[in-house]
Amino acid sequence: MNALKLLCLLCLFGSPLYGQFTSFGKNKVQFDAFSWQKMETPHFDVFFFAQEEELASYAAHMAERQYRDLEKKFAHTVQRRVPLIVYSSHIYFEQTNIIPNLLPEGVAGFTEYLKGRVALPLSGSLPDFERVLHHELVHVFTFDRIARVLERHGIHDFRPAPLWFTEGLAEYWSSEWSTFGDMIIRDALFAHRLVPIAQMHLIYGTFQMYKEGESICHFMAERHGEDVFEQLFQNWWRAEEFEEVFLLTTGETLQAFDEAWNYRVRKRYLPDIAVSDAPSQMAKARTGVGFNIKPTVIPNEADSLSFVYFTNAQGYTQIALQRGESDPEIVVAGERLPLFESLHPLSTKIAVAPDGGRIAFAAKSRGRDHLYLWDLVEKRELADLHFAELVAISSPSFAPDGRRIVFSGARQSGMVDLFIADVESGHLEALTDDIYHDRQPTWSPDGERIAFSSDRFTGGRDGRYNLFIYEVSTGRIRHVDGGDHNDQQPAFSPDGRSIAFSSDREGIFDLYVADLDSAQAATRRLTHVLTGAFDPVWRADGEGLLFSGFQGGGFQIYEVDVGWDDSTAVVHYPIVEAVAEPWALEGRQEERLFALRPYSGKMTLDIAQSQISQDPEFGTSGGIQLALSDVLGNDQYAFVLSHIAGSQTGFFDGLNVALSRYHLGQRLNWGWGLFRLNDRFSSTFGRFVREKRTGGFVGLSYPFSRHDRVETRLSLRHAEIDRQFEGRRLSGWLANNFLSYTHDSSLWLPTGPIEGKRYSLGVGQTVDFKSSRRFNTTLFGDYRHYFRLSSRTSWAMRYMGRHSLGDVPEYFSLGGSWTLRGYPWRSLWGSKMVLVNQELRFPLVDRLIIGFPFGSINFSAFRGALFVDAGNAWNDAFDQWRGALGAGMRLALGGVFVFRLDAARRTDFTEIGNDTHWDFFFGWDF
Amino acid sequence: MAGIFNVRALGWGSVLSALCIALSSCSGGLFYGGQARVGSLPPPPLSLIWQQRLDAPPQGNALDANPLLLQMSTSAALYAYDLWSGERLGKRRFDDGICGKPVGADDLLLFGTRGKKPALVAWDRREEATRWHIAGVFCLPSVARRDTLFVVSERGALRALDIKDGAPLWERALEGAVRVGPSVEDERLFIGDGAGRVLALRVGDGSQAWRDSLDGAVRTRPLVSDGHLWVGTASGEIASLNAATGQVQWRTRIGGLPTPVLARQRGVLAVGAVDRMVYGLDEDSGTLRWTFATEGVVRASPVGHGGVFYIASSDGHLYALDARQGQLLWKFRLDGPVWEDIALVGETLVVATEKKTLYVFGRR
Repeated sequence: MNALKLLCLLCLFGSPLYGQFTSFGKNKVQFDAFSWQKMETPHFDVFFFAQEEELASYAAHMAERQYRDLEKKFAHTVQRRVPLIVYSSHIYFEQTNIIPNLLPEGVAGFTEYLKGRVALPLSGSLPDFERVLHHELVHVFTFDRIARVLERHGIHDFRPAPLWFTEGLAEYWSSEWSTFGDMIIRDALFAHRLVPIAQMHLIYGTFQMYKEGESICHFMAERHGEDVFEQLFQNWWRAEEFEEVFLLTTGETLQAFDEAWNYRVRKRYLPDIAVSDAPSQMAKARTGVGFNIKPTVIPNEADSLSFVYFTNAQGYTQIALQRGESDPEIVVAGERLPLFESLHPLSTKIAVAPDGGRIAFAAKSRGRDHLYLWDLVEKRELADLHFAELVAISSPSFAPDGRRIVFSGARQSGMVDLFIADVESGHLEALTDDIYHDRQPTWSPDGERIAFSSDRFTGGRDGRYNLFIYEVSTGRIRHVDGGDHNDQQPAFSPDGRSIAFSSDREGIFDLYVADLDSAQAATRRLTHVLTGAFDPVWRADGEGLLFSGFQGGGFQIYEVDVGWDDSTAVVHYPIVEAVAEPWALEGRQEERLFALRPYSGKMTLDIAQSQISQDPEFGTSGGIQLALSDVLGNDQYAFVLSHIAGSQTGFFDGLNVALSRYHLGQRLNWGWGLFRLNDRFSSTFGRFVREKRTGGFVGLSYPFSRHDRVETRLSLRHAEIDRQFEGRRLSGWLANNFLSYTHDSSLWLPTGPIEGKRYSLGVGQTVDFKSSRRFNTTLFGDYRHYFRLSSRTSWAMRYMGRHSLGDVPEYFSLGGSWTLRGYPWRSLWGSKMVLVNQELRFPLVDRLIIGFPFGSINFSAFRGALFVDAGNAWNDAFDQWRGALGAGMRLALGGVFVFRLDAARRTDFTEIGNDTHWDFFFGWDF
Repeated sequence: MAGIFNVRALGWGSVLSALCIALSSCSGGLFYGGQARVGSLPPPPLSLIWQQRLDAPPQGNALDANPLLLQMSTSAALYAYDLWSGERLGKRRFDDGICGKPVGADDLLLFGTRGKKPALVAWDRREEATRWHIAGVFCLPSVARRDTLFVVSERGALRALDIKDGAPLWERALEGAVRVGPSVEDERLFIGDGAGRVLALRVGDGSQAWRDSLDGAVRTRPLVSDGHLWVGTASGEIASLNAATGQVQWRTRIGGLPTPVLARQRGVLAVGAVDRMVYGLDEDSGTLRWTFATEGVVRASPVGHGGVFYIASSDGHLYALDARQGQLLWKFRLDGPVWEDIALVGETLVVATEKKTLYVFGRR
């Protein structure tokens, strides 16, 4: 969540005394200032910044073409203009304010439903960009079609489609069934992880759900006709549940259809086991815990096989070193520090220098990718290379001289080319400069050639990749193996005569070896894997390979010997000069047909809510909340109007009005607001305070990185405070300011953090503006550390202290499930407070299904805790530590709530009480 | 109110209509009667004679109850208008929602209802009461031939009913799901199913006369005339079959899902499609004579009259095209997209938009 926004919300809606304590959360950092423009097509407003105008033209062209396609498929016209926001890099895309969520690297694009915005980045592949755009536009049409059908029949409650269906249909209508789809379904089938439609919630939002959904949609069209989807949407209004609509439309129950699909899947894939094997059956597993991928062998270690690779065995992505059969050693800890915010494990690999003592890897840091040189032995940084013209970097590979590194780099325009960097001078040389996606370069042992995978051939327009060789001395590019398939991740053999690579030319991503001795590439298939084999690298002896193998829904690193028998067919592909411009970027010619306009920042409704409530003490409460924002979400207004009609107050006394504005488009987030509030607040220590306040605030938040930020706020308000619990009434102009520093690098499970740390330190002060009388000065600190003991077990600790000084101090409370367990909610309070929690968190039950006559309810992430708490709150003198120890359980409910139940016994640390105190709470672990 | 209605006594209708408008909850009016006026639609350009607002988007096309015009809305409200003045003479809301396109047969209005007890309802316009109903889901348009009504459910249950009382005459279970209603011509009932099968059945007992298969689900109601049967499929195939034998005479591919009803005029078959185009095919050979591009999906079926095809598109326009050449003769900007079929009612052309406006064109 954006820090400033949270801060302002706290300021506006929380207790006036509580507003200065910040919340944790990672930051969405605006590293780049974009100059936005708009391109208008018949159906789209394409938003782009200057460096990506070519991409915007292409996107505009593609969007119009896909719009026509989807009009036919849906038999529907979307009657509104669709905002389409394009980013030339995922790194830029991660800075978007269209949605507040942090965007992981796996998010290839999204459709936001409130304003119908589509946002997506270029990953380097233009055909892939086109596919993602098509996918998102299917969502636009799906949503609009359902909305219009329901509206047409006077149904005002939106009836969303199940996620597996919307994503499956978007996949089905945006691309052909792929080798990856086969891999996921085949693996799920053989690993007994294939999920039926009725239990699709078990894999909610996963890649498997997307591919199962796509497979189901394929089968739906095959079984009930391609127009079955158009019919489903036509009938959407006729029933509330998807199952009923499906039955009405097809005459078949969803369960019967599901069984038929499952049978079809088994019939399709089960025979494959006769001719292929899972990676674990045909190769030696070199890793086993977590997700391990992209090995690179360390040369010059003749006695044992040593390699580096990416692992998430401990939650974060890290670079590990495996020497022989010893336990792996973490050599680069990623994702915890701003330095290595992301190591891009899915899109890059690690380079090992010929001397075997250094590695090079790409990592996102401070808003762009850097190329780091790292000492493997001393585990320290040797060099940090970054280039102004490049946003993203991937797949480095050392030259035999150890001084130069070739890699794939994404320009600000989004185009991905090959580059060579001199490690010592930092000089950058571009090898290619065109629209083609040149990736995964690898330097030959003699230093004369660079093999790489690219879409620079006619099949590339359809998203296919082949292998190419760049001759370093001449700059010539040769096409190694033409074909309508995907060849990727080339690796030169130690003698430089062969290339190992992964290819789906025979329907499964398997390993192949191409002998380059002659004018033809003599290619042989090395493996027959049931699922998929990727990232081959040669052992130093040239007699075997390491590779990433997909099995059981994850990747491990395997080792296989290279051995041919007589039956291994050899296929010869001529090595030819690559065609200079095999395909062109559509849309260039339309560039001037579409009107270009400056970005207006026009505000439109973002969120509107109204509510009314009845409270026996405070009377009737009614109000509206309105939010306005621009298309990019950079400028936001929030307006709150509510009324508390208590018996003691007149109309104006009960009126609450607040207006605030936040500007999130730059790295320094800022906001201001005006408010006039009169309310009774339940203070943090459980006593009521009435305050009439009228004033304004300004706030600033500056994120140093994804993990760290500093915040400050200054407010000036006229306050009439009735501290009923003290019998004190205070009145005057109060100035309040605070400054805080917050760090959050925690890694979460559904119930709460499991690894990393979070801390916040700050100071705040409230003074009477006229008399300069100090109301209070408050210091606060909160430090939390989570030590991961195993993949799902952790030790969590929290140390928290608060101290308020002055004539009108703030009070802090303890007691209850979230602070000091075993003590009633907010039962301890004072102007000083200290709290220590120690908690062991562990899994109890992965999945709990409770059956009822009307169906079953599924719960996931049922976890346990053992804890010891200690703390107290006091005013004058600390008397004693109050403590509790006990056990608890946590249950994640729908990914939104966590139900917590704790049983605690109090202790003064000499004796343990006999009474058990129970605490219920809805909320995440601390 | 029921009974004899004469067009000359429109004053009563006006009074009732005014009362209904004044009392917005009023339900009822005139749905039957009057003396039919004979005439024909003039050539384009047409004049907008009148337009009226509906309470919801149209459900099905306007029905000819000359001199009345009937239009159902998706809120299950039936409107009756004086065809020439546009005066609203009646409005009646049915308790259950309407499913599918209502069909008129003499003094009966036939429509499917949805809800907990879905049924096919035969509503007597003269008596303003349900004459009979049969339970079941009937969302596809039925077709009447003299005293017999042919209805089919989406699951493929085809029935012949006595139109007087709904008594079953015969029933036949088709092999697959059905997405469009049947057609009847002479002694044959024609129907296509979701698997692409086209069947000709004898109206007397439902026995099969012939059967053939096409590529994709049948999505247009069979058009039968002069010994030919034309039909379109979900894959965009338009086929001509010999109505007597089922032998396929020609097949032509258009650019996607066709409009549910084909129109025929001067030897040309017109069909709209989801690719925004209207296609004019030679009815004898299937040769593409012309195409006409609109700016939106064409979901409303075209109608032909006097050598002209009238087409409405989701681009919010009504077009008149020369049947032989496909040339645009006239177009009219409506207030919104058109999803339901255009209708010829008396000597007028009626089109209703998704913006809830009913337009009536003709000679002013």
